[in-house]
Amino acid sequence: MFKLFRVRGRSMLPTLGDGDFVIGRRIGPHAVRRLDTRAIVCAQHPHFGPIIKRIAGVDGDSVRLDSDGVTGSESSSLGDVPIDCITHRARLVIRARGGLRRV
Amino acid sequence: MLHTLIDTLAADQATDVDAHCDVPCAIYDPAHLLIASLTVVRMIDIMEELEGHKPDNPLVYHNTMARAVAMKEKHAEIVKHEVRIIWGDYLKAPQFEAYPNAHELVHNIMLTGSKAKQGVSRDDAVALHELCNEFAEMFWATKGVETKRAAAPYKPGLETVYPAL
Repeated sequence: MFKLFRVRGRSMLPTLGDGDFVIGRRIGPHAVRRLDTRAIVCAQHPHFGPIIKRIAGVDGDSVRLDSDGVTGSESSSLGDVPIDCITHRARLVIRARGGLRRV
Repeated sequence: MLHTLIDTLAADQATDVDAHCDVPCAIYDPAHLLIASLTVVRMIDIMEELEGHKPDNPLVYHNTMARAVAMKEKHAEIVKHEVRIIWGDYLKAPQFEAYPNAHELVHNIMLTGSKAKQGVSRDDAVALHELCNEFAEMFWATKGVETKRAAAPYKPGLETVYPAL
C-alpha cells in the first residue's frame, strides 16, 4: 500500500527538493477524483515516465498536473494524463537537507 | 539523519520519480513589457508633437499619425501579452502566496493596457508604465534579484525598473 520514492529534479521546489524521499500511498481512480486539487501525486506519465507533480485539476477521467517550482514544466507542457496513470498520493517527505514534512 | 538512514538502508527500494525541468528555456524577463509600455507613452508624445507642428504635406501628417497610432496599439498589446506569459507560465502557487496582490496587479495592467489602446491619454499610458514597473519589481523579487529605478536612457525617459545586477 505504501511505497518509497526518491525525487529527481527541482521542479517541485520549494515543496520537494532533489534527493528527497517521499512515502506515497497507493490510490485508485475513485480516490483520485476525491483528492484535493492541490494534492501531490506520483504518476506514470505516458511520455515522461514516473513523475511527481501536484494535481491542478481533475476533469472526468483526465488529470491535469502542474509543478510548484518556477523552472518546472507548466501544465500545458505536461498535458492531461489519464486518471489511471496516478498511482500514489504523497503523504510524507523526508527531506535531503533534514526534516520530515507531511504533504 | 532519517534521510541518511533511508539512503543507506533502503535507497535501493525507492522508485525514482522525476520532478521534470523540461521547459525548453525558462527564460522570463519583464524587460520586453517595460520597453513596450515606454513605447506606448512615446507614441502618444509623438502624436501630440505632430498635432502641434503639422507638416505642410497632409499625406506626411496622416502617414506619421497612422504609424504612431498603429505602434501604440501594437505595443499596448505586447504589454498585455508579455504580462500574461509571466503570470500564466512563470508564477505558480508559491509565488502567489508570497505576493497575494499579483492577480489584482495583472488585472489592472490588462484594464489600463486596454485604456491605453483605446485612447490618447498620456496619463493612462504613464499609469500603465508604472503598473509595469510594479510588476517587474514583483517578478524580480520572486527570483531574489534586487532592482533599481532609473530614468530610461531614451525618450520618454520615464523612471523604469531594472535588475540591479
